[in-house]
Amino acid sequence: MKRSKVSVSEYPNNHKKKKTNATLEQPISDVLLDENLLYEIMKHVDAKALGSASCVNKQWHRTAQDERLWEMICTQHWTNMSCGNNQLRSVVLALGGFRRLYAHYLWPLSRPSNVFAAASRSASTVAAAAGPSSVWPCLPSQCTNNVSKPTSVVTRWGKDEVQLSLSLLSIRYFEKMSYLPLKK
Amino acid sequence: MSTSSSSSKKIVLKSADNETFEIDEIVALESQAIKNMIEDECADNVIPLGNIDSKTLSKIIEYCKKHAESPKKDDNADIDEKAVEDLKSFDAEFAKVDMPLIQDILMAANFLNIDNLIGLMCRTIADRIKGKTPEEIRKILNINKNDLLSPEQEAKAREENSWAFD
Repeated sequence: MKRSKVSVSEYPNNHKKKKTNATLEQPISDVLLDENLLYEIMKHVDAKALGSASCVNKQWHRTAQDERLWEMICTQHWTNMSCGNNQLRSVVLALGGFRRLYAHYLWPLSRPSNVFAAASRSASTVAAAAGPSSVWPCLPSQCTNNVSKPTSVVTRWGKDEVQLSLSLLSIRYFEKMSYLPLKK
Repeated sequence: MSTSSSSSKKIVLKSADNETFEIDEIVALESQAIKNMIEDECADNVIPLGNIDSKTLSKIIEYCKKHAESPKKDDNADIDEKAVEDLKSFDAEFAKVDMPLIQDILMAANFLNIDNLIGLMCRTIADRIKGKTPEEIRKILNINKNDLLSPEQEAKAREENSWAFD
């Protein structure tokens, strides 16, 4: 497998490879080297754990970037959507993806506490990473009422919240678009 | 094994440490991999499982026995609610083992292709890393240190996910 740069030893004596088979001393975590199993595990964690998981190591980072995982997290709270899943998926993916959508707009919304406090608090953390984007403080009042009414952790997002968050995502996308040439 | 009706066919599994387990064929069929082997008639009397040790294998057999003797969900709609509950609490008890064994079971279940068991182990691991920091996850799962993100990459990943850390 490893081809030497010296041409004479291009085929170094086939049987004398010093590479012994290390099959028996697998570290415990080898099972998690299987990308599919890791994906299966991540399907069952919540958004917070998925965010944390993406900082564990390279492989976890790669796996946790998978938009399908974030799509599941975003859509599990959504009640019936006016458009089909495929349509929604193509729009969100084009505008930056479900991970971003969740981190910037749905996470502040999903916090059980007062939405204003939550939004402004996380706006400061998000803003640090994402630049100036006023997140949710600008919500129309009827929407805020919807959200802050249930104090349970499981929040259901209606059409308004979903559409507004999608709008914000697209605004952010176009803002970034126009910034890019300026920076250069 | 316990209530062996004389008519049922037996399968013998051999673990990596050469321990043999004689089980009813119906139990072995919980494993899609073994089922395929039997259907293709390429299973000998003894099926050697060179990568599964006896501790793990006996857990897996315990699981398969229980699930083989429980009524299947898709058999008919009106199965006993109690049986479902019973199976659920069995699964919950079954998963109360330490993390190395869970990972061994997961790896073996993946090899043997036992879907329900793969799902159960994945959910168990997922439950145990909920609310944990990246460091804690590494420790809980004994994550390979050779694959860590570089400090810059990790800082970036943490920044992107900073909302998840408060």
